Formats: sequence, C-alpha cells, structure tokens
Amino acid sequence: MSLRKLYDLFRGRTDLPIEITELRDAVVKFGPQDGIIFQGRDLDPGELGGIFYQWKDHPAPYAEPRLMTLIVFPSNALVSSQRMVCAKELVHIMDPPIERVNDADKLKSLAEKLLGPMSSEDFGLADLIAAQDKMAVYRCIPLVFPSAARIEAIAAAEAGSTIEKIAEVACLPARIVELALSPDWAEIEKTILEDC
Amino acid sequence: MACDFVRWSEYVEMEQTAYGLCLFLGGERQKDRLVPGRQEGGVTGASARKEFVIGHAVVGRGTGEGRGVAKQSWRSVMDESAMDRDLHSLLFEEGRELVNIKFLPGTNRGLSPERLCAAAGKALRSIFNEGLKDEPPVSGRKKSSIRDALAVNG
Repeated sequence: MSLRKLYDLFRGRTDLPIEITELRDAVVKFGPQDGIIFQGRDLDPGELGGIFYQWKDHPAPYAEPRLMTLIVFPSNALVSSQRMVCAKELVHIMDPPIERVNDADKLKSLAEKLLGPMSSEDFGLADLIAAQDKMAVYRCIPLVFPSAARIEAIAAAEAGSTIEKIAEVACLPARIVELALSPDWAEIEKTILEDC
Repeated sequence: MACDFVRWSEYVEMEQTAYGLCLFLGGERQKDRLVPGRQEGGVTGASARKEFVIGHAVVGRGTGEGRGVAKQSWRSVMDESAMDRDLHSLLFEEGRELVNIKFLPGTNRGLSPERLCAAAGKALRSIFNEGLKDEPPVSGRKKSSIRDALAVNG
C-alpha cells in the first residue's frame, strides 16, 4: 500500500468534507489491517496533540497476529483540528519500515529530535524519522483537501470567498486551507507526490 | 567504566573530546542537560580531568580544561523512568508487539521529551483501561463542493 495510491483515489474529489472514515476505508481496502481505531481523549495542547500507535496482538498461541492501529486525537479541540490530527496520524500507516519507531531507543530518540533544535550537523536514523514525521502534516493535506477541491477553492477565493468560509466547507483549520491555497503549495504537493 | 546508557563507541569518542557536559547524580540535574547535536559547554575553570555521570552509570572522563566542545552527537539520557514507566509498560510489557509509534507534540516552548512521553502514557493508559472504542471525529456537515456551497452562501 502506498500513499500515492491513496492520493490517486482522492485526487478528483470535490465533495467536501472528506470524512476520516472515508480515508480509513480506503486504507483498509489497500492493505492488511485488522483494526484502525480512532479514539478521542482530552489532551493538554501544550504537551500532546495526537498519537499513532500500531501493534501486533497475539490473541492465542499459533493464531495469526492481528495488526492493530490506534489513533488518539484531542477530543477537547475543534472538530476541524481533530480531523487534521487523525489524517496526519493515519498517514503513518504507510510509513516504510525504516521510519517505524518500534523499540525504546528509537522512541527516546524520536521524542528528543521532535522537540530539540534542528541541527544541520546531526545525521542519523533518528533525525530522518523526526524529519519525516514532521512531513506527515504536509502529506495528509492532499487527502483531506484534494487537488480538484483545491482548484475550486482557488476560484472561490479569487471571486472573493474568504479562507474561513472555504475552511468551513472543508471542515479543516483555516491555516491548513491557507497553506493549501498559497502559491507555494503546488510545488510542495508536487514534491510530496514525487517522493511517495 | 560502566556504559549503561551509551554505546561503547560513543564513550570512546567522549574520552577524546567531550568535557563536563551532562551531569546527573542520583537523578538530580547538576548542569543544563545536553540536548542532541553539537553542544558547546563545560565547566569553566575546571581541572583537566572530570568524571561525568549519566543516570546512575559513570560513563566517561573528559580530558579538556575549561570550556570544552562536544564533538559527538549526543542524545540526552532517558532511562526508563524518564520515558515514563507507564508508557514503557504499555508499549513493551503488556503483550503487545510494538510495530510503530509516532507523536504529534504539544506546543509548549521547552516541552521536554519526558513530559511528552508522560502525556502519551497517560492518554494510552486511560484508553486501554476503558477499552478500545472506535469513535472517529465526524464533521457533521452535509457534503458539498466548494463551488456549490459558496455560490449558495456567497
């Protein structure tokens, strides 16, 4: 399963909002997933915005392990932000093996790299994983604000519609819509698509 | 020297270049904690040889004098208690085989890895205590194209 296949599936969509369950159904269609669960919790926005947690269950000896995914989103945030968190974390289902954080050392390193200053002098797997993690926000935008919808949004903005009105239709944070409508976005999206 | 928290190769390099960087004694912070990456720091006016302790293991000796420069890319030490015992237990000790985990960090300046992990541990523990329940966020909006929605509403 690849992100490109998901992009291709949603690219032509103009009927907004794209619901999180639609993204999940598409992911399940493409790959082996035994369960993708979204669960909200009150999260302190200063400390934590969301969690992507994927594990294998071994329900019984000799039984096939089940691949489970839990995405935790802030139930105390606006729905538009909740959706953005879920979309961003969902993209991690497509993480290539090298980017998966699956032991304590990698987890410690990821937490440090995510919170520490960016350094051009550090090279290592942890730096790569943290950098790619930050990219996940950009990678999910073409799914929740597909290209065809973006074209309509540009036309609407040129006709005088505000970012806020467009964001309301898409049920996305205004700052995300603003980014997707910025002149730079076409190149950013092209780069994301080329990378996947 | 015991090297519980560093690889041997890192210790050897530190022997050559690092100096008085990150001191924890019994869990108390002695100096500003070293963050990953190149770090300049040291104890001014210090004598030639200093031992520095990370966590509860003596990990090396600096050989510089005064201010030193760490040339080794160095991760700050997080032992199990720093990661948050609950998160560690959830991820590694309860029969689930971790495949992948990622966080969206909060926005506080100075948010520490420990606080992040503690918050994650708390949220996950609460969910597993209650039981998994699929409750995806729903927009509550009727589907519409932007063209139609904004033509109607202006």
